[in-house]
Parts: sequence; structure tokens; C-alpha cells
Amino acid sequence: MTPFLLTTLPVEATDAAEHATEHAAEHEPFDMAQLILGHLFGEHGGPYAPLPGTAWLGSFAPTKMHLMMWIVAVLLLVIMSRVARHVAEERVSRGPFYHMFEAILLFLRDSVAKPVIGEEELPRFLPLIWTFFFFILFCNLLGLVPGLVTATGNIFVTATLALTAFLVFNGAGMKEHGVIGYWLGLVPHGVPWLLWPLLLVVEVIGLCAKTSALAIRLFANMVGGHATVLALLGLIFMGAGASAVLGYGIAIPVVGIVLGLYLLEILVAFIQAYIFTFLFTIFLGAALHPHH
Amino acid sequence: MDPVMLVTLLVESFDKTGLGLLGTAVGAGLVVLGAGHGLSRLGSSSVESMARQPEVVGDVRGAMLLLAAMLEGVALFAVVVCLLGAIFSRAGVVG
Repeated sequence: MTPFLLTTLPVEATDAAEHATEHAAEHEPFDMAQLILGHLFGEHGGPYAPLPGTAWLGSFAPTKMHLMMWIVAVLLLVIMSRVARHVAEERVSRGPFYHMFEAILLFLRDSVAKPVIGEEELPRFLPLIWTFFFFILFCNLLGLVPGLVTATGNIFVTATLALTAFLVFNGAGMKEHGVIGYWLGLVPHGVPWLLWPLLLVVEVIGLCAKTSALAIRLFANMVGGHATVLALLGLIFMGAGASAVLGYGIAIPVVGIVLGLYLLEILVAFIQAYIFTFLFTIFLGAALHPHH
Repeated sequence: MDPVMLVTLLVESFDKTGLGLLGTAVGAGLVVLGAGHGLSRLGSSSVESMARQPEVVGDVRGAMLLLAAMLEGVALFAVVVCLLGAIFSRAGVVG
């Protein structure tokens, strides 16, 4: 890794310097769309550029998004192994670290998982429920740090999470009721046989729609928050394009608003992680014990 | 030719991307209308029930937060569609 860094970093630094001087010479007008699209979807590199030194891998090159997910994975491994040891040794929680995790883990177990999927299925699915919640939460929160990227702000990441959820709850339903029995049991009882195929199609489409809704809801919430922050910060540059005084003047209220938006985004990060987990648990409960 | 078609043809002859962006913006505004209406109904009924029966404040607050997030999710689906429309009309894909 180091030889690549030594050779590519100086080249990229001189490229960036040339780019900056070109820009200063041309002084092109500020483009709001370019700012937002570039930061969110990477038209000029951004989150989808290969990490320095890995461009030789071509389309398999890890990007900043990959790096973020690896960071979250390592963080989860380190923190959760500490918490798991604490639980296994049945120690009493003292201090904010253990209390925080105990509160969240117990809340997810007692208020979300146990009422929905029942006590017997808990050992099978509770680890996955906890993993979903903390992975999404850490990805969302780490994306708020300036310079880092939201891994869940990528539709493919959220689609993978939703696809995993889809496979798990359908697989659990198929294991419980049999492969054919699960799909046939989707249709409620008491439906006339004439409507039966139509209702089966409707139920299957409903399952796919609920899964894609899981993916799109998480993606849109993350991207929407960041896009609003970028649009507001871009107002500063638009003002600076007109005059320096306007730039500095507009910066003060805009930074205040953006600070408030950031607090809202922290709340949304927690809520969206909870919503994904809760809905996954609901679907799992519906697949395991259909109440017809 | 009715006046709407006439105006549309006139606008399109000047600016190919404008109509796409206009549709995007109007769509986003309609989304706000729908989400605002839904959230206001949710808020008013939940606050009223909390006032009638203070014992259920905790449960109602949890349900309200959950429903608000679901409603916001639906609104954001439409926002994603508007974003897609804006990106495609800006890139000149849609005529």
C-alpha cells in the first residue's frame, strides 16, 4: 500500500494545484447542481472515486463508500465484543458506555422483537435485528462527520440491506411453513377461489414493494438530509459570487440553520435505523406467524 | 389547438430542459402538500388523544413518531422521483 501512496499522492497533489489555478484564472460561476450532484453522486470523483493507490483494480477498486463500511464493521466488532463480554460475564452496568448499549439492546429486545416474533424465535433472529440496527445507525452517524461519507446514502447499500431482510424473512417463513406452503399461505383465508390467483400476485408484489420501500426510505432520508445541507451551504458560495460582503453576511444565518439541520439529521439517523429494524421485525413476524 | 398545448409548444421551443425541471419542482411542491396534510392530521389527533387521556402519553408518542417516519418515507419516495427527473432533464436525456 505504501509504495502506491508515495507515487500517487504527489501526482494527485500537483493535479489538484493545477486544477485550482485553472479555476482561479477562469473564475467560472458557482454551479449549485454541480456541488450537490458532485458530493452526493460523485460526478467529479467524490465518494465514488477509487481510494488512492487502488485505481489499478479498475471497477473493483474500493471507494470511500467501501472504506466507510469497513470502518463501521471494525467499530462494530470492537465495540460489540466489549459489550458482549460485559453481558456474558453478567456484570452490572456502570458508566455511560454500558448503560447506553444496555438501554438500546434491551429496548430492541423487549419492545420491538419479543412482542412481534415471540420468545422462542428470539435466539435465532435477535442477533440479526441488533446487527441491522447498529450497522445502519453507525453508518448514518458516521456520515455526518465532515469529510466522511454516508454508506447508507448509496442506493446499492440500502438495497443490499433490504434484500438481506427479504431473504431472511422469506427464508424463515419457508422454513416454518414449507416452501410452497409459505407462498400459498400469503393469501388470507376466506377468499373466494376465483379471486385467489389475483390475490396471490397482489400479495407477492406487496412483499416486493415493502422491501423496496425499506431500501428507498433509508436511502432517501440520508440523501435528502445531506442534499439540504449542501444546498444551504451552496447559498454562501452563490452570495460570494455576487460580492464578498454578501458571502460573509449570508454565511452567519446559513451556518446557524445548517447547525440546526445537523441536529435534526442526528435524530433522523436514529429514527431511520429504528424504522428499518422495526419494519423488518414486523415482516418477520408476519412471515413466521401469519394471523389469518 | 387549445391554449395549454399552445403554451407548452411555445415554452418547449425556447428551452428544452425547462419543462422537465418545472415538472420536477411542481411535483416536489405537491409532495409537500400531501406530507404536510398527513402530518398535521397525525399530530392533531395524537395531541388531542394525549390531552384526553394523559396515561397513554408514552404509547401515543411512540406511535406518532413511527407514523411520522413512515409518512416522511412516502414523501421522500416522491422526492427521489423528482430528483431523478431533475437529473435526467438537466443531463438532456429527456427531450
